[in-house]
Amino acid sequence: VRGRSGAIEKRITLETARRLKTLLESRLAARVILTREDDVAVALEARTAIANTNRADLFVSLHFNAAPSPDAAGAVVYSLLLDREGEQARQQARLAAAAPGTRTLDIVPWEFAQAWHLDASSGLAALVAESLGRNTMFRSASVRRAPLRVLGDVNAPAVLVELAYLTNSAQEQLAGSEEFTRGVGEALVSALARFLGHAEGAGALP
Amino acid sequence: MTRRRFFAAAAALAAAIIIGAVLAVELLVPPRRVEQQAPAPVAPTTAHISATLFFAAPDGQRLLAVRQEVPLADPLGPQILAAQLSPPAPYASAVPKGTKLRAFFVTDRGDAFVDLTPEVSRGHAGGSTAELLTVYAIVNAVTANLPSVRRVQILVDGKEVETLAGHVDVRRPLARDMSLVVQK
Repeated sequence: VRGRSGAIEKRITLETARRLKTLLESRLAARVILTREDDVAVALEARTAIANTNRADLFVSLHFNAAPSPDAAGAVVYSLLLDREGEQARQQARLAAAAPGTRTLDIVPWEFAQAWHLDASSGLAALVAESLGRNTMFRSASVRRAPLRVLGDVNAPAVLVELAYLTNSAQEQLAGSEEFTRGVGEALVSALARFLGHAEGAGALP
Repeated sequence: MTRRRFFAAAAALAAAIIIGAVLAVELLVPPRRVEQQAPAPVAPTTAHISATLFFAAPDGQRLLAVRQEVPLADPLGPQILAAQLSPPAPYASAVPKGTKLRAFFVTDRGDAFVDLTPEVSRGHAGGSTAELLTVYAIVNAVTANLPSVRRVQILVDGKEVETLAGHVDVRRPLARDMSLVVQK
């Protein structure tokens, strides 16, 4: 996405992701892997493969949004909406998991890996939206489910976060700022910490 | 009231009830029934059906369902899509400008294939919201107006694609999603 005044999604997301990586490493002692460190295009499938081969506990895809109206504003946090085939795969996985001696990886086809994590993913989406929503800078943060390609194969709880609309000039101006990047970092760290059970009072994994 | 007047009034009332009932029945018939009951179009230029189309809502985050007269033809799918791809003023399209229909067909399983020109990808602004609106404007327009269609797969330039602009998975046929829709 490219904003009207020239903000470029791929640049801002990389900056935001780097900031987030630093915060997650220092505060949660998490191991963070970015799907890209530079200005290179990484295929959707390759991003997922990086998460899966590294046995990621979480997958967060950072984006900036676009809409047909310049008025659209706010953050949107997505988890996967399964189609009919995905729903079937999920049912099969559930049945098979009830049988002893099977691992989910053996029975969930690669392309439906996310089917197994849907509940956790929508829980994570709710936490991220709630966390972003606490900072008025983001205007609003809603939760939605959609058939998003990058989430489908991830074998871990996964969300896609559209942080702001670059098609909205006020949001575009804000998006590149230090304040915004810091706000995103703080909000996501707090949400991921709660999800991973690091937060005070939180118990085991949800 | 004389007897005659009473009967005249009763007759008028009965007529009104019957007319009312006919109107109510007319109003209750959903548009797709009109399509099914209509005889083979003799003069497609004059016969129209009232189709439901989906344009970008003013908030830019949802689809607006709009009723529009569309020329009745067999097959109807291409007519619906032609109208869907070029909204009349003041409506804004959720599909990139210049996108045209290349081909349309429906399988026995009720999956429709909508083959679009590359503008649908090339001219896309990107962003999950904009891309979801594009995809579901097309999926909803086909499923809402063609009762035989249950799911819709979008093709670009004759080929299957992963996404139109990097977000929404269009590798398989998609079912209608009215959660993005607001009524006009």
